Amino acid sequence: MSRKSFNPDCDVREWTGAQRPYDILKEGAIALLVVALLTAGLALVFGSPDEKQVTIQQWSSADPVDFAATAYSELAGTSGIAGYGAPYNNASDGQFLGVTHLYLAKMVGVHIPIDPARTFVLQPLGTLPDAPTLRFALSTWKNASETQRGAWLDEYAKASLSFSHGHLTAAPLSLSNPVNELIASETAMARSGALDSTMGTGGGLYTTDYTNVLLFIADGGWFATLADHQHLLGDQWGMMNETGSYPGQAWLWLYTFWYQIHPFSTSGNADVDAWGIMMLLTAGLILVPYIPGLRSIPRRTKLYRVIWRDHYAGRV
Amino acid sequence: MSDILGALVNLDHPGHYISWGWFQMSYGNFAVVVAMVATFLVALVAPFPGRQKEKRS
Amino acid sequence: MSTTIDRQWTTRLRRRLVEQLPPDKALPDTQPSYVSSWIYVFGIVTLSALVMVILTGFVLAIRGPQWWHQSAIGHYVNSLHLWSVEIFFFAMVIHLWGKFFMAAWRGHRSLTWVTGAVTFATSIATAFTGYVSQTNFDSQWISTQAKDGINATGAGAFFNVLNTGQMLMWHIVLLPLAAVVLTAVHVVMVRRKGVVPPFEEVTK
Ligand code: HEM
Repeated sequence: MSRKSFNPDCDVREWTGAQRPYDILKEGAIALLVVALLTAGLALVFGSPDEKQVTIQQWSSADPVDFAATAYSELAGTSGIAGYGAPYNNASDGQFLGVTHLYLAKMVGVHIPIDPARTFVLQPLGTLPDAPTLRFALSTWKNASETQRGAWLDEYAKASLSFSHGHLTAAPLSLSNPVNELIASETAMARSGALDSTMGTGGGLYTTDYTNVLLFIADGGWFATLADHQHLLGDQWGMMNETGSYPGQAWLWLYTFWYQIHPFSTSGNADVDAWGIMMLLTAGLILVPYIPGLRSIPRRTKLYRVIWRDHYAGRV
Repeated sequence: MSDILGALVNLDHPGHYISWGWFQMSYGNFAVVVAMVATFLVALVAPFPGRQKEKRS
Repeated sequence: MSTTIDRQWTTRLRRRLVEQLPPDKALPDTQPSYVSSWIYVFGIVTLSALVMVILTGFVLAIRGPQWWHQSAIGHYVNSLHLWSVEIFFFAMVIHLWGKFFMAAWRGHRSLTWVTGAVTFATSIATAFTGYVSQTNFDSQWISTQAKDGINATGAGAFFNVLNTGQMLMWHIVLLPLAAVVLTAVHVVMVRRKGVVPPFEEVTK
């Protein structure tokens, strides 16, 4: 290039000066050995976390009332997933991206359809054999009008839930109200462990997809309490954290940072906004060599003088 | 749980957290970040072996 | 005779390769005299850690995704996998800082930087899919939390973090392949261009 257009942040005159012996393969072999030893040592000294998975069975045993309340919210359509929107359903518009007002998820549409009342309550209950009372409650529910269902749900919501001797009771409740039978059966089913396997996506013996079970567990309050104890909640910078005292995904610091500050900490669009910002910043990182100003920082900060101090001191 | 291959230092207990106002970080992550910055600084200033032996060509 | 040979695809590819990356550039036995700092070793340390990550991942793959919950040896291999990942990111970030402050993209080396930064992003995605493939409490929590961010972008419709089988496939097939290919391209670019010279300064 001509002398005139030489930009010190982009261009160099290739090196024609002195060379020195440098065995890159030996360097690589030593590096590999050191990293292998370090890995083996760290793994031996610190191990790795493996906090046991939780099941619907544990949840319904540890906190049957929270479980029942969650099952009720799925039936009533008031749960988190019931109001989620895309990709699960059309219940809400979801989040929109910053100033653009683009509802990205809604634009892509519903691809993992979930009707909470059916997926989380009615369908699993329908698989229970030899349960005449439950059968009757299910068909009563199925044949009832929307208004009738609403009245039953309202009545159930006003009743007080209690759990004793392995039984969930809601009182007071009229005898014709099937909701209690549905929720109590669901609780019994959960406590037996049957709900964990019935809810696997794909309907059958094999599954590698736990979308339904996980969404259901996450709709309850119990799961978040466990995470709170482990300091994993979003407003605890939990994304970076690991169970126990292990280091976690520290490299997510900037992503989780946005959730902690205004306006994102209180915004309903925090997720999509944080993603939008991170995409922009990542693009910025990738394109540093092309961004005037940013690419001048190394030359301006002069940290390179330390790196190449031997060269500048003429010691090479 | 604790076999020969188990951890010598048990990190399976509730973590500790640094918090300055709205800023929070686990000790585990903090240790990693501090070690990273320290390693970077050491790499900058530590003398690199072999420079005495060179000759100008 | 040479014209037929000259036109062969094979010949043309070989010549192209040798021209782009002659053996003494691919495996040089000297480096410019300014290559005299510990900061230069972090690329190779990152590469070594990547090798460890992949080897330990291979061992985990032999007995399948649940093995490490049940076996002490399996758990140790999992620890090896986790700590090699920690070293990998540790070294990669220092490498990135070092290359930034050397402005190592100068002299037609910008694509070296670009492939490096894309590898960084790919590595984060790879680690993430690993975290959600653990089949323990951690993966349950991380996947149910992360779904909201990914869903909000619209990607959740196809990239379902709650689908454990899908995430495992991404973690052990698609993303590692991408990371390794990107790394290979990155390292070949470095060898092709040689190490970036220092800023020119009037020295005393
Ligand atoms: C899998 C991850 C990576 C591996 C295995 C890797 C490996 C390497 C190696 C072996 C070198 C040559 C030796 C050295 O100068 O350190 C190198 C050079 C380089 N790397 Fe990376 N790297 C990775 C990620 C990155 C990232 C994240 C960036 C920056 C965004 C980056 C930017 C560069 C640049 C610009 C050079 C050229 C250095 C020069 O000309 O002096 N690399 N890399």
